[in-house]
Amino acid sequence: MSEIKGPGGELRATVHVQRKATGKVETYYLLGHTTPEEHARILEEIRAGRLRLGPVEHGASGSLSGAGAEMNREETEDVSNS
Amino acid sequence: MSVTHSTASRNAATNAVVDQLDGAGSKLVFRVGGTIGSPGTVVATLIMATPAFGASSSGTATAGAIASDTNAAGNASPVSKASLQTSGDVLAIYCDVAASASDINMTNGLTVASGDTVSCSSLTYTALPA
Repeated sequence: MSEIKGPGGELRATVHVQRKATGKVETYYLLGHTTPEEHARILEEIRAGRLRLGPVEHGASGSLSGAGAEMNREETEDVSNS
Repeated sequence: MSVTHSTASRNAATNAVVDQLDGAGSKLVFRVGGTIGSPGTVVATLIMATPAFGASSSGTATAGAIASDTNAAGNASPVSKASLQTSGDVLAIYCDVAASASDINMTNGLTVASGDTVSCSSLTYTALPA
């Protein structure tokens, strides 16, 4: 019996870090994929029938596409401590 | 052989994952190392909305407002993992956030010092590719 494998889920986030020492805010853009074991767990949910793949439609917004991975950093502003 | 998922299937898969984070106090946690079975050291913990995500559209769910961690634990090493978990610390998602050879390529790395404030202004999750 062959093993079914595929790419994991994809997570994208914009993260900001305000440095306690300087007050500066740095912005990070995260793009990545969940781990193979997470994907395997999802597949197991499907196999076990706990995850039902059916005609479920909802109305929330959101879009994401593309593979690969990148992250950029930029300093967006100075924050005064005074 | 490639597999193509319908939009309905992608929404179902994404909803099945993010629905685990419907309860109050779900968390976005940045970490150093570890696995979903043995999570790494916590660098910062951000509390998510209730529910954490809206319903999936086009296979992707978008998180609601996320509260900042105004006093991060920090770590000398760059963040290498992120997890999404319940208030009871049951992990739903564990994500690699490592260098170029890993799933997320972090130019310059994301290193958080103790006491830094960490916030997240946008977060989306997609369980399956199209």
